Amino acid sequence: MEKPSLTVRQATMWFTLSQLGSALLILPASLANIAKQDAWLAIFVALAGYLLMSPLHIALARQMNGRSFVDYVSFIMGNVLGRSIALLFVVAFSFLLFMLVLRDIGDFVATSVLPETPTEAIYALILVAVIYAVRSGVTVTGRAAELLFWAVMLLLTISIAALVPTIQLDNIKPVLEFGFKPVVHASILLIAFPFLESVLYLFFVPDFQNAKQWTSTVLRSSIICGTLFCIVTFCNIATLSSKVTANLTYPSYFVIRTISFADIFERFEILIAVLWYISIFFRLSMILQAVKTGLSGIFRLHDGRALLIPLGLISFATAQSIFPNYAEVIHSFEFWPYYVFVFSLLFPAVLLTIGKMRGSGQADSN
Amino acid sequence: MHLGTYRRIGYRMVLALLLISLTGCWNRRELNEISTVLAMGIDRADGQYEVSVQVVDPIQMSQKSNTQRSATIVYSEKAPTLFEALRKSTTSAPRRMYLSHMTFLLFDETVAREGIKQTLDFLLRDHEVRPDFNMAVAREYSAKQMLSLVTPMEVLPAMDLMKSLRVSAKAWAPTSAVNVVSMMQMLTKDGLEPILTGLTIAGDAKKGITSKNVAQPATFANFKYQGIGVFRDDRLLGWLNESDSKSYAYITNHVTSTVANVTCMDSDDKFVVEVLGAKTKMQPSIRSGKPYMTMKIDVRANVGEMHCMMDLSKPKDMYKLQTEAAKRLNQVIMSGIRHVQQRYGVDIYGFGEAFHRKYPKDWHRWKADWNQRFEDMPVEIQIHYQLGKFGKIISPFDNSPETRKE
Repeated sequence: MEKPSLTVRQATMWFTLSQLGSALLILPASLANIAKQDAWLAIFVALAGYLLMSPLHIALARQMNGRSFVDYVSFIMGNVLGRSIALLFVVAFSFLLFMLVLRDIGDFVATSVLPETPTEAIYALILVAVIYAVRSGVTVTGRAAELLFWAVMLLLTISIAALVPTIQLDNIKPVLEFGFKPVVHASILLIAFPFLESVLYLFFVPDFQNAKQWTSTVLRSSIICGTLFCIVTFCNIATLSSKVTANLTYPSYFVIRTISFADIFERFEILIAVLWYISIFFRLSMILQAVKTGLSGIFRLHDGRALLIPLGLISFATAQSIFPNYAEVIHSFEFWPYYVFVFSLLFPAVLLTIGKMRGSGQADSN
Repeated sequence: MHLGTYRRIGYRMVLALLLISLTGCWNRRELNEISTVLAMGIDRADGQYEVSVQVVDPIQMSQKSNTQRSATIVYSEKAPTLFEALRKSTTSAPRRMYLSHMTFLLFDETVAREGIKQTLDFLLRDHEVRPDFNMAVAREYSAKQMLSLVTPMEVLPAMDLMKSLRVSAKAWAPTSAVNVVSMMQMLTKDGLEPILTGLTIAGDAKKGITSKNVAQPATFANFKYQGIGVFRDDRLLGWLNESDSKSYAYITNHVTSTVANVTCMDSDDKFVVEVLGAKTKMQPSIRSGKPYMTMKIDVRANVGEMHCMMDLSKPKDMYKLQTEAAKRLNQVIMSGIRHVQQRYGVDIYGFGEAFHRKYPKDWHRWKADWNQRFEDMPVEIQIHYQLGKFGKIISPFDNSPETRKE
């Protein structure tokens, strides 16, 4: 049987959608809170910062040399230690992230669209789709992404185009009122969420033909995603002003609700909800795929697909109880970046150093 | 049976289960269970909010409408907060209020003077309300009375109110169509204080709320937008007259079109200019450590009506009119600013924001007592007036200087 492989095109679209996911709707508020009207600049800084850090992940991907992430970790750190650490990584980071994202979609739908529908119904619906997608494998999800990517782009273009007439450039002036400090501060949040989540893409290295393809996918999707974030945040702040944006739960959704174009082209905010559903779906599929691959590698399972339903049920139960209320969700943004840094910077750096010290990454495997 | 059959049955069962989710009806609101709220009015009564909502009578919207009935119904309910009052309205209305299509929000003067922030919180927090409604303050009459008025042009009074506000802001200028998003910005920005247009009833308000109001061509009473209300934070301070309101519209770049009369230079007659477009640029500067505002105003206008003894075919006369019109505009704008500075002392023009944009450092020193600085701030305006065309006739009818002399 031929090894299932992702094309660069499919993977780029998939990863872009998955990065857009949670961040597009929530982030403008947190960014505007810290960096005020310069929030859009923070995105450039974050993208630049990420591109500076990405060689770390890329070097790792190269060293993996087609092996799976878990295999690589246990090769570097020894069988028992390597697997325990990989388990920690998968449970404390990947799977935690999965539950958080699931919570995000629940919160959004319950706050903005269907307040009386129990969030369990929302979780169940999206979980069924996500589990089905992950069961079908990366190629199928990749192809789905190839199709739906354009749907998302279309919806995004429509919404942005509709916002252009209401943009007031005065709202983004003065540029750099408080200097670079708040901009950099805001960009830290953004680097961690969503850019550095690209560490999860390491689980997909074996699905690519070579590390080069993986690298170009990861870089491309981050750049596309950063550009889109920048445009959306800019439109938010230019339309609503930074103080208003900072106090909204879902600014991107709110701003679309304000559109009333010639009294006809209005009330289409649900498009943004659809857009979000699509990108959250790909985000969840990406993370669950990573969790599945990770766990089945750790426990040497023949077929990791058996894990999907239990994992789905666990997240179904925990997503609602992981945060007691929405204030905690917002509060979590304060320390979440540092938590992410542990797994996405520190951990790969340690791996790489040990790998270099053993100096055998490439030679042995061939 | 073999495994394949079980599988097929299993798949079909899953598919059948998925059908349940496709109806998406957990959160459903059938049309016959909701009342569409078009406009909301908030009054202060006995220390509580009296919330009145104007809802559509669905029967009147159908082809076979009953002309005996009013097209809208006004429900009102008193409660300490907005949300309570709205839910309480179910005690007198058979359906739940559905707020997504609300287009108009009205405060009475008492609420406006006590502060409007409290009332806005619910409207922004609730998921149903779309942040695209317009706002105004009811003068002399209560918001409830305003909403009960039977209006002639549109079947739905709320539509009348909203359209008139938008049209008058576009074609007449001394009103301002403030929607809730611009209100949010005005409330949160430091160097910009809010304003809202006033709405009142002209005529016999008692007869105006009966269906007889629209039974003859001249109504007993009609609504009327009147003046711009000046706020400090979220509290109404007072009203601007028509000329000052127009000055506000010019300064904040809201003039799309308007008309203005100008006295002729050599007689008491007047001519009228139709302004086709105006563009104002604020150029803040600092003179001897103090804020100084220069405004450059570009106006394009035509002669719309002419009663001066002048021959418009002569360019010289046309330029005279142009200078006169510019002078008059200068007067209107300056006196508007002076009144606001002296009487209210709040920066409704957003001068503070202009300084904020250009001189962020100085702004942070000024922002705490900005309104005081605004009061004493010298303002200079430079008008570039362009009077272009004069319509289908050239000089006034039978009014050439030669014939008058005789």
